[in-house]
Amino acid sequence: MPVVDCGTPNEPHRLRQEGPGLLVEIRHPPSIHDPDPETLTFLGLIDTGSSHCCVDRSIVQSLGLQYAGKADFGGVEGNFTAGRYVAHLRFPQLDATYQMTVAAMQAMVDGIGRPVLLGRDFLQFHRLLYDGPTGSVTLQ
Amino acid sequence: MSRQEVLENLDVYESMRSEFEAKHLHKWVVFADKQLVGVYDTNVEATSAAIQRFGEKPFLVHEVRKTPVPLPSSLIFGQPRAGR
Repeated sequence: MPVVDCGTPNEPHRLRQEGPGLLVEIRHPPSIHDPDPETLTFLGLIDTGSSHCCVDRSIVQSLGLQYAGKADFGGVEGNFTAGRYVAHLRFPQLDATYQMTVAAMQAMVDGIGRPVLLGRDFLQFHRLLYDGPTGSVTLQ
Repeated sequence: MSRQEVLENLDVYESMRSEFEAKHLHKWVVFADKQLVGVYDTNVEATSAAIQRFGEKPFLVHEVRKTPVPLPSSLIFGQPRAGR
């Protein structure tokens, strides 16, 4: 599997501000009826603090992703419920594709500047090395 | 309509929650037509199997856990972008 630098090499201050990013293509899972569904591409934020991948709710609405339940989320301000949707995630730099459920969050772009969070349910398949002093983040 | 069917599957899950937590904690379960159709180790395995079997027919993919899913730290501590 390819090794990708998701950081900002030689710009450690930028890495601290922006975090590691990885290109991700999101679409409805292909089917016989729609073998080539519309695809949206984003720079996702790799987030080891998130147990699950999350996307902005606008992506779910735009692509018409299939509802597959809900989950209770817990944070510092209490618990809330978010919908889970089936998504086909392709990572062109890694040449990897996964079908998984993602949680739909409100106003992620406004809150953190990224419409997609790549959590530990994605990272469980990869090896991540975060080199803060150099700004390099390698993902394999 | 499909959303309602998924929620009905969720009701079935809730009725069996204690049993799942005893037998399948931290696994992923798939329900369709109000019936358990599989137990999987990961979200990816569960979702891929469900799509393969049901396509666009409604199904529920649910993680068996006792505590809420941790909110991403980025959402807790996120800062407004420059210029906002």
